[in-house]
Amino acid sequence: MKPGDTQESSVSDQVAVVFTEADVELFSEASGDRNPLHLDRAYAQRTPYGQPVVFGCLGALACFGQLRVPSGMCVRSMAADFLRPIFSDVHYEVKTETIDGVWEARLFDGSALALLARATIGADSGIPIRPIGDDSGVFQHAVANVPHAAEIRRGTSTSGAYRCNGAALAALARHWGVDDHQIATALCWSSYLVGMELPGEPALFFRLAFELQRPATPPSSCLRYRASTTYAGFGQIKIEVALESGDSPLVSGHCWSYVRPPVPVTEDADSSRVVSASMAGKVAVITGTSRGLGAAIARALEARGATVYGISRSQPEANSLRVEIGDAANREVLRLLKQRILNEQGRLDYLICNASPPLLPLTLEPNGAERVAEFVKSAIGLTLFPLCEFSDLLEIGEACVVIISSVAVETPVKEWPHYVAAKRAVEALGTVMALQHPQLRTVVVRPDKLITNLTNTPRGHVGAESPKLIARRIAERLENPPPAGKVEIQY
Amino acid sequence: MDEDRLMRCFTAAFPGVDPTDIKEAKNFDAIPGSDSLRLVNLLAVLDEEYDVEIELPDSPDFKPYDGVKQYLLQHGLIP
Repeated sequence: MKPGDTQESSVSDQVAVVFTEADVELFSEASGDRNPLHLDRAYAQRTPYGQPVVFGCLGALACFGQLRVPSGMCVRSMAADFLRPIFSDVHYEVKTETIDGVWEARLFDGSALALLARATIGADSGIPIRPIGDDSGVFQHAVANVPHAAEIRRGTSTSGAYRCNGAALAALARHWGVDDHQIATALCWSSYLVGMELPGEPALFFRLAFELQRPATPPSSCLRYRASTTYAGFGQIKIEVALESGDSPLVSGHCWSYVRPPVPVTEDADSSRVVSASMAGKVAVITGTSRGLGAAIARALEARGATVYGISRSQPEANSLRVEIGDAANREVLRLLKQRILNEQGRLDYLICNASPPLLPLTLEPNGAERVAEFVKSAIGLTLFPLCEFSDLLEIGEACVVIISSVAVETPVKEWPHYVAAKRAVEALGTVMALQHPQLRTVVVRPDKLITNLTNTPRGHVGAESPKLIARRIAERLENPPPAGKVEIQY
Repeated sequence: MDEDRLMRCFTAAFPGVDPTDIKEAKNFDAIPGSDSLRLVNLLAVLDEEYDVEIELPDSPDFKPYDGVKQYLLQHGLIP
């Protein structure tokens, strides 16, 4: 609301917002939330998001910064729904309006609603919260809790002392234009609580709803909180929460969070026993071997006697793999690997192009265009550069190229225009590769949804298949490869 | 029946969506912003509110609001 607006309704406002890494770090410093999903790039790369996610409560803070409370009034209730992950360096817009006395802010990524914040205001009575001047916070945990499965149940509780880092909180509130530090404190504290303690590391905080009370006496320098899970089901928990100063309640209400299930490590069954020696003496290169389908294919080929080299951005699950750490589209990485294979093996029999960028929903509209283009370029490069670099090695003998595509090329997914475009393009590369190198055998694999880190969202594994099954089918086909010069589609 | 209580479940699962749009949606995809997470939220909210785990049919003809209301009525969970 602004001066002149009535409490019942107001004209909608619109403000552009971009979050930076510095914003994320400042929020972490103020709140004590050090959940690796937001701060650890290597950790985030192994999640479906592929990059660090901006704290949802920071997004909410940016929204509440648009709220102007008339003198003599204060925020009495606040709520936020975190509908989509928010990322740094993306242009968002905050649109605000007041309807029937409820102030509302919506954070949009183009036309997609990412966050919805709401507040009601009332007469201000009591002492406002001010940030404590020193720059030390009080946080029970410095590392995010990793809960046991048994802890994800009704009745699990936590409590303790809490204080935001006062200097960081003041800087945060100033930067985002949040006049009321009780709002900033509530957002910082709840982010810490959910992201660090309950449930902790696997948290995907998706909603909060708080009543705010002004204390009758100056708030103590250190607050106390309690939280208890009141519902657990469908991969999520609901937590009843309270933040108090002495006997005075400051914040009370609920938080809701999804709990990301752990992704099972690709089973080692195939590599712990030799399936056959059908690929003895054969040499394979697989891109994207750190986990998931790439790791499963590597195991399946090794179980059949093949010598497997991998390219991945991080250490693979299987220590036995010969791996070049790097991007599969990096020409220097590819040249080093090719030279190594020439020196050690002198041949290449299988090139399996599996690497693909992390996949997030995008819309074909102005705000999404650059990200769509970037994804398509990156995805094509991850197949194109290995195909080109190894083309001369593949010409020796009866080599086979495998392109990992997706059933999405036949049944496009509405939110994935970039993925559909990229997979159709890499299939085209495989097809033309077969024309330009007619001695090659080419298999295009179109798996459906797989159980991997990239699909490890609250519903991502529903109906998903184990990558081990796809890997086995690929290995069995390579044992009896299709004729040269043909492109075979496999599911 | 207490339609407000049922609609509160839907608006909790589909925040920011006009209740009229929810009520008139011909299927889940027709509810603005609908995705698999919103469906999970709806299941959880209904579970918590009515102490019931509902199986939502995967059919493009299943009208979300009327369908859930019918289910609850048939199972005696709402008067």
